[in-house]
Amino acid sequence: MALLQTTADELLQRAIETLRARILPHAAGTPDHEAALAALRALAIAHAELASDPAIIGREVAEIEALLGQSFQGDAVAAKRALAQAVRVRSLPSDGPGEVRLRDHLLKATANRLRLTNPKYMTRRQRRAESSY
Amino acid sequence: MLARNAVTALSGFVRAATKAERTSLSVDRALPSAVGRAHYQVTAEIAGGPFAGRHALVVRGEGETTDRFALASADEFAIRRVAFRTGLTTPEPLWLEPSGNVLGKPFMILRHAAGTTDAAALQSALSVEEGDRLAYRVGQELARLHRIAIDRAPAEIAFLPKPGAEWALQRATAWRAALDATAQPQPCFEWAINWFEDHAPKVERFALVHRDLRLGNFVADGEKLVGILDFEQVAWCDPMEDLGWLAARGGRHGLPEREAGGIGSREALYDGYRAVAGHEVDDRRVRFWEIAAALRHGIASLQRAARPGGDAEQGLEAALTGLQSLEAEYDLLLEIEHYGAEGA
Repeated sequence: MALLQTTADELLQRAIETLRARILPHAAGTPDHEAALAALRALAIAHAELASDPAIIGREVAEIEALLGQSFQGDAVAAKRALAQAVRVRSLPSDGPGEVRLRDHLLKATANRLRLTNPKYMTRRQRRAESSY
Repeated sequence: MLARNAVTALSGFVRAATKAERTSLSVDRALPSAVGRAHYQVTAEIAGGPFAGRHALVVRGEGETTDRFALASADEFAIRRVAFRTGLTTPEPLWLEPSGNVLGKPFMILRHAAGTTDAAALQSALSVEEGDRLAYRVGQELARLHRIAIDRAPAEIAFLPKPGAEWALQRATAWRAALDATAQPQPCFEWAINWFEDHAPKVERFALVHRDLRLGNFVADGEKLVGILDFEQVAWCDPMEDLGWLAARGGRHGLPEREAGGIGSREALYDGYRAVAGHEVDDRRVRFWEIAAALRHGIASLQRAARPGGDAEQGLEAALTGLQSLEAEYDLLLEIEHYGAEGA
């Protein structure tokens, strides 16, 4: 249950709608237009993050634990740091199924975030990948 | 805009540089630039001396950068002079103020190239055919720049560091250091750096490479290429790096299907390059450099986010730029897999 009568999700959504309907049209052609667009984009990303599945981080930690054979007790930053270090010192397999598992994890982790910041980017890339490089 | 006393100081500098009797200088507009860089279009009325007359000029100050590869104004000026003398289509570099005593930072003055650098304006103005013709011209210009080879380097650019056999390791080390300076661990970029190190080609011929030629860094008037700009990333590198940087997905703005930098087709770019270079473009090597471009672009985005600087708007711009590193990560993961499949 939220502390406030209007949830953070609703507040952000209304701020986005107001900015889009009332501020952006007046900013068109002025130096403020880029700033208004940036603010709108930031609010949209924050809104998407609030609405995202909270279990994602736990699943990512579990994947890293499986890759490294080590427990991080839910500490996502420590897990990611350990993975980055293992990749840097090349202690993970550089080919075969182990390498595929690492690549799959990296792709999923990136896609989980890109879905919040720029979901159209993945859609456009996937569509294009069907026709060419 | 420049303060009145700065305009007066600038006018005095131009008078001395041109051995004029009198100069009158007016600032027409601020030009797009990175944070902290003075960049203005000015008009100079010069009376007496060899430059007597009215001149459209650009004042380009030294920027604020933490990029270890970025050149200082004096070095960039020397490279611009060599490139201009070689016949590259680029605004003539006229005078350098290296001390910082006039505007507080070093600057150079160039002739103004009339046209646009605005990516969206240019992309919307060009038909597919016009875009191809512009891409062809960009290819020609890159090949012209790449004629300046390391083994016949003009003396005035002898300061450029000469890469050795370990050039790929040096880049990888610099990128790893850049990642260490950011707040968050970056396993995807670590993985891509390893790939870069493992797949870097042997470079038989190092040439003068622009390293930042893409939309925004050249002036065009429709399909006509008016001038190559921004030489502060120039270095001795594999010439194919320039083609890869231009063709990389991250530089195509809203037109990813125009593979030559969002301007025209890859074929047009390669054709233009071949017409001047006299040899085929190594497409596989260009693809390698496209991947390296995503890596470089992604790490630069993280670096930008790590130094928000300035006001709230600049802080927001830095934060959003940092998030663009995710697009570079996604490109790296897909393109490295594709590169491996193509080479199998």
